[in-house]
Amino acid sequence: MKPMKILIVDDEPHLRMLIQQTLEDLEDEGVELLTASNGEEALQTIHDEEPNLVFLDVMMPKKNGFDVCNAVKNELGLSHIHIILLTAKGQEFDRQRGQEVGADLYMTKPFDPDALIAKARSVLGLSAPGL
Amino acid sequence: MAEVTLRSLVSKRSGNLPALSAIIEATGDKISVTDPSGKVLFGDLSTELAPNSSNMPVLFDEEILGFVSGPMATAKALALLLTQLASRESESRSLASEVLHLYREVHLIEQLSEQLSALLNFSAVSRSALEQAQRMIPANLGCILVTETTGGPLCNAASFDGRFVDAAHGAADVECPISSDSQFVISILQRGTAEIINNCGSDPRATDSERHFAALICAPLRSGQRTVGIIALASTVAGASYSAANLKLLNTIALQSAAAISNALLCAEMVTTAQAQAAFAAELHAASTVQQLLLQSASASIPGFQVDSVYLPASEVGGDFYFVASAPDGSLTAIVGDVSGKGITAAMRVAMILGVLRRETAYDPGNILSELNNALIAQGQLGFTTACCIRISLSGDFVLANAGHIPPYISGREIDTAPALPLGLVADQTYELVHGRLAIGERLVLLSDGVPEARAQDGELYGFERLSRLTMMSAQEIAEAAQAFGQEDDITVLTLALDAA
Repeated sequence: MKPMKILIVDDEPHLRMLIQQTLEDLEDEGVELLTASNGEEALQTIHDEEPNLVFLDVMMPKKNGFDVCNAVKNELGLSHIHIILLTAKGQEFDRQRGQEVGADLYMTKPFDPDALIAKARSVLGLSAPGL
Repeated sequence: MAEVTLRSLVSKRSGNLPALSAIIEATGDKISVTDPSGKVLFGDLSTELAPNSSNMPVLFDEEILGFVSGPMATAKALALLLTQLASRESESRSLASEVLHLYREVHLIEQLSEQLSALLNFSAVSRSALEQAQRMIPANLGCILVTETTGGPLCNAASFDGRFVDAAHGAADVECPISSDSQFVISILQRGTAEIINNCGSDPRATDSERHFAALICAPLRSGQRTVGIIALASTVAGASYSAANLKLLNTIALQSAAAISNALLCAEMVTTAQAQAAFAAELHAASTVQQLLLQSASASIPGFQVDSVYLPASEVGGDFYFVASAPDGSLTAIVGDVSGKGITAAMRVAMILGVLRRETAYDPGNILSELNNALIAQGQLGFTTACCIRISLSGDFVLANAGHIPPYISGREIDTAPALPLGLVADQTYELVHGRLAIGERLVLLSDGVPEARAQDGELYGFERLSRLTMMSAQEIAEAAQAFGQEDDITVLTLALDAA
């Protein structure tokens, strides 16, 4: 069976590490965690690995999160990949743009670790621990 | 948090992989890295140990994370490097773990703020705050105790001891797991600072009922300058203890909750006051309706006379009254008066006076006023009442008596009346009669002091000079003119005229 994959995209290494650490319990359930530090790298990884879920930062150098999301959902024919945009708290999130590019959800940073892992489990169809 | 493993240290995403590969390649040795079960994670995939090779353990925190196999010197050096990397990884994970913990706290406090800002119900606010505290700080007992007044008793607003109860669901009737009489709790309330007791069994601050707790933490609910109560959590789990971080967190929750609890208490008070005001307004309205009905029935149509009356109370109910009745000889008796005081008390006195006048058998104005005076005296301390009473025959001859009231007018002329005390002050008074004649076409006007004492916004009184001109008009016009000028008191106007026929 094809392993489930989550791609974490953020240009801030600390943020990537925090998200990885939040999600690393899923590795024991066979989920592979991938990372990318900019939009172009993200697109390449998405193309090569076809992750099930992408946590995608909006404000990034080279290619921002909206552009990456638009490419995945509308240009690469990978609309089945679930994309969650990550936006900094206090920063006005352009909901309309998010909808236009086909994002499935957006979450604010600093993220709620419990909400983040719950969302990942829900998208991947994994039950909550202890159930 | 997942522990540091060799697998994570040599994984693609760790960033260590390129450097490790380069080192192994530079040595030219056959090296493999295995986990404790012997599974090869990196390097030479053959599981057999080459001759002259050593199996060096990678140690971290007194645990074996795995092994590096290969020539002794290289394996040893690589094992030491992996140990160092594990140490760094552990530090960074520990830091990340703390950050994630803070993230969780920030979100839980944010959630609490959102919940509390949407709640105005005291019980729901207390429950919500305590539930959130329980989520963030380990405890199997807890409560929010609130005092509605400074120095007042502490009441159980919400508590849990296996099950949750709040004020709306009988919290006041259940024994609070942390007593409101506890000296520790009271000291927190009085001093306004949060505290921890971590050895309740031996700490002198704990009371007997708290000895079976392992740890107790309590913070004041401070809103502005006032402490409205406390929030306390306790654990009976052996060895449990609370930290300074727990104390800071509980203080933050307490601060958020105190403002919401204070607002909820204020809101409940306002609702109670509004309900009482609404009930009073309904009663006042009912009283007003009764008074209007009483006064309407006091103005009967009398053959041979044109009677017009207008009654405009300054508030819902008034202290003015009038009464018109016919005598067996066809003459008309009318009285207009004003009781001292305002509101319901004055209205009740008016109702009593109208009752006396309905039962009145005398037709002579002097006798009517005397009997009304004695009836008022008999009722006790009721203030005083001014009244002017007149009897007019079908031919227009009239006789009137005045007890301290504004004299009546005939076609703009004031009728002189003898000075006399108002009713209800001194018993057995007599009232001097004044005789006169009302011609056909003339209008006799009886009114209350609300007309001459109407006051404009700049303070100017309507006055008697304007009044004499005004009394040429109809009852409705007189009342409306005084009201438009600036009504300060009840306005009553009664006009009497002979039928032309």
